[in-house]
Amino acid sequence: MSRHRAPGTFRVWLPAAFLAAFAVLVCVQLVKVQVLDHDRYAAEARAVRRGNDTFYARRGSILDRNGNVLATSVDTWDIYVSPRAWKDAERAANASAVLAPLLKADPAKLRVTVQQSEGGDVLLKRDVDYETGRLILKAAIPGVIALANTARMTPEGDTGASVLGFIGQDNVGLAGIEAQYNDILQGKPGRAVYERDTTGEPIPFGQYIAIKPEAGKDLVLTIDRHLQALAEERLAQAMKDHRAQGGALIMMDPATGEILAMATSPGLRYSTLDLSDNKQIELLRNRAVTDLYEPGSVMKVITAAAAIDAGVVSPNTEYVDNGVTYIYDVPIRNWDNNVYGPQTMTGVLQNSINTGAVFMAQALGADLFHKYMDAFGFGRPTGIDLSGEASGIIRRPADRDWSPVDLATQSFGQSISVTPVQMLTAIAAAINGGNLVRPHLVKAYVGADGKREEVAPEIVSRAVSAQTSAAIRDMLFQVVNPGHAHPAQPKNYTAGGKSGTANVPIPNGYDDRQVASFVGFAPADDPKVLIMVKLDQNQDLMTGTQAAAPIFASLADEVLAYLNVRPDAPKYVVKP
Amino acid sequence: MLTITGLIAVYSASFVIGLAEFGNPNYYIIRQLMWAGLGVVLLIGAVNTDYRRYRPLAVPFMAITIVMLVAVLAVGIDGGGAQRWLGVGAFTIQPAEFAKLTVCIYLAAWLAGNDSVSTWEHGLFPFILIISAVSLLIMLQPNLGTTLIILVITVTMFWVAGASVTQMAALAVTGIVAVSFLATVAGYRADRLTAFFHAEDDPAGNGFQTLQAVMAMGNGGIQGLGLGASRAKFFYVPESHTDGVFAIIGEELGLVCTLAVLLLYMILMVRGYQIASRCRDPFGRYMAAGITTWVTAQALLNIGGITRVIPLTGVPLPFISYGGNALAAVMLATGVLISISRYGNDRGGYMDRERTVVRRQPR
Repeated sequence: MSRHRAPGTFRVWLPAAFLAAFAVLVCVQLVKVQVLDHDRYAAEARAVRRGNDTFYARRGSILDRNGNVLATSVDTWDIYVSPRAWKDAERAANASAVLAPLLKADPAKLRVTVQQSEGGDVLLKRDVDYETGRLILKAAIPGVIALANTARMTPEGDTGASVLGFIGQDNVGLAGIEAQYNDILQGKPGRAVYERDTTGEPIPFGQYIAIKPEAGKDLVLTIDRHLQALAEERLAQAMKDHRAQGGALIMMDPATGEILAMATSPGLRYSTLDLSDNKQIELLRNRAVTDLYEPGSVMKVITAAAAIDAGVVSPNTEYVDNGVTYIYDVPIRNWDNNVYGPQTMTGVLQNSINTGAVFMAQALGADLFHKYMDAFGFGRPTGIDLSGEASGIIRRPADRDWSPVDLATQSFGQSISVTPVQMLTAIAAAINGGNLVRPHLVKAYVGADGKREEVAPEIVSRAVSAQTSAAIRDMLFQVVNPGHAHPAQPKNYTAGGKSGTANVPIPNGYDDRQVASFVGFAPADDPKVLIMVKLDQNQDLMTGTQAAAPIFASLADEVLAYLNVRPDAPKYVVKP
Repeated sequence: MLTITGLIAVYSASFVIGLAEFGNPNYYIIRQLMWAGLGVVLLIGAVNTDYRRYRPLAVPFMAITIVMLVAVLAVGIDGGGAQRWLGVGAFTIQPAEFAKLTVCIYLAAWLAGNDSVSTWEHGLFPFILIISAVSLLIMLQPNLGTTLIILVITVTMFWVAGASVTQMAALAVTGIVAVSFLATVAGYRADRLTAFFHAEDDPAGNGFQTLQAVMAMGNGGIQGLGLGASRAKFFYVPESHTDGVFAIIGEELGLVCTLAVLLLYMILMVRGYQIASRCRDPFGRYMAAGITTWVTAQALLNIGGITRVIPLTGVPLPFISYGGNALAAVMLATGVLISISRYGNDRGGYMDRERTVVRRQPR
């Protein structure tokens, strides 16, 4: 059957062929994109769309030993604006007019800040207080985003700031306890990983993985809020009275190593903290553990403890002071160039006779002397829970630049550098029965569930015997009670202690500048508190006994009364 | 079939944008359903109307089209950087969509009444004049995609009607010159070319649409992420419910479905050209060829652009993309095509009512 076909019946298949060929091309491309390159595109898509948020856990509070809050976190809001939402001038004007009074800012300035941004959301204000943030959220201002944050509050103001340290904007501790215990305080931040759209919002029904934040633990410090405030106040007063450049005032329970108060100056103050000022970076370290000084005559206590413990002298051992001792050709003189004549070892401490200290050290010999220096913890960190602790510098017989003169000078606290906390810990070992304890600032952790874990006091090693320690307590009592009035005598309590006045070492000699200090304890036969008062470069050039001892005396009275320790000064003791 | 696929895809692709822009996830799908309803009415109407009735109306249709295209330029509504719509309230029409159909009808009528297509003075030159007039009006909106489609339709019809190879070659040269010129004068077209060739250089700006579309399809793989599970429609693929809908289909339903959609267009093309080749009436043949070319070429231009085989041209995917006018127009055209299939083989001549061909299912 033949049928006539009009022109064009076959011609239609040519465009069909063209189109079909093109369709084949598309097919090939589809297979390439969807099968061969699938993994690559899938990975790319995931990467582009992956959103990631961190939720900080509640940061633990820091409490004093009695549970008073020293630092705590409060909920705040960080206020952001999406610049895209404020592109429209009218919208931006309306939005900023509502937002500005809530942030106590100028609407025009807010607009400029937002519109100048080229990147993502613009942070307008950090740590807006909780109530204001709620108002901002309620106002539902276009483009305004409020993200939950926390701010650190210190109800006691600047008290204890140099111990507490501070945290940065990312909730990480940068100094002090906040830095040292950051992991415990911070808890575990939660994270959310999700797929997001081009504006950064999570996609509904997209993958969403959330890890819940774990709240941080509270820290109970060994610090007593009242004693800390007292220490800071007295230190400030003393620096003023004696025109000192700096200082430290530390109180410790000598038996356990608990630090009851630790004031340092210069030091961190929240009220004037300004991190944009480079000089203030200096304030972030806690000088009681980071800075070294030569302790001077306070060291004689350690020399005496070593000599008595080794049995080379007893408190009553006598020797004759000629006012000078020669080590080879180097003369060692007394601090007051005095000649004391025949003296007991107790007298050496009472009069702070340099040649007497040299006598004891030489009786020990360099090796034994340094064995005791080790036992008392010199030349290594005490292990206190504050970051940046210095080891101290002590030249040893094995060192290349060792000289026999070093043994002599070290015996009365020169040619040896210590931190205030290190010196205090060594004295504690000498008077607490002979135990070198680890000084510490944290007494306990309290979990979010209220569970409390105590931090047990730690005895690092035994430095001297209990008998030696008792002998040293008695000798130091004699220092403070030489038979006449002494500036270190508290009114209501017996006490012991030793002063130190040392010049500041500079390369190849000593400066005129001095460090005047007094380390004392009370009551004398059962010390409840060990106090170091240290003044740096006091311009009145008063000695440790003159400047620091009276501060110790009055503090001992106040602190022990506060601690409910029964007064034991002779006037209270009923004679049988 | 394609229309239903389209409705599902549009719904899936558009609810996010609908929600974001109009606070109603169903905003787009309801409008699209309304247009689809209108489209079905038009389709059934067209199926039951003998296409030969259109022949005497070709000139008036063309006149109306040209008036409307001029009106668009004069009082049209702006959208997306172009003036393409005529609006009465919420109801807007896009004359360019319907212009494709009237061009088919008019050109078919003209070619069918012209015995000397293969000559220059009676074939090529008048032909160029006609198509240039319409193309220019659409080009001025501007709407390069639709212009391209109209050019492809008309050239194909011209060829089917008996144009000589020399004429085609002349047209091809002219076309290439014209397209290269047009592509470079408008900034956004140059950008699209740049995006096609160097998308990776500017992934966040110029190349964003191209890269995101390909990434979405690649992410879909063979099986797809599942219907409704697209990530890319969350503002990553621009125009995800209109021109970019194919990328969302690829992402949600995978290679299986993208190939299936492509296959549906191929079946439509084969059937369409079959209708054209079987039609005894030149008017019907040319019109069938024109309509078939229109739907297929537009589909391939869209898919080719999305898959990065060719640069993006900004034409909707027939039957599937959101856009009421396009859907109604293409369904009307399908109705006409079926009508040609129904009446084109009638032996009884003009206006014969005897049904000798089995009625084909509307597609």
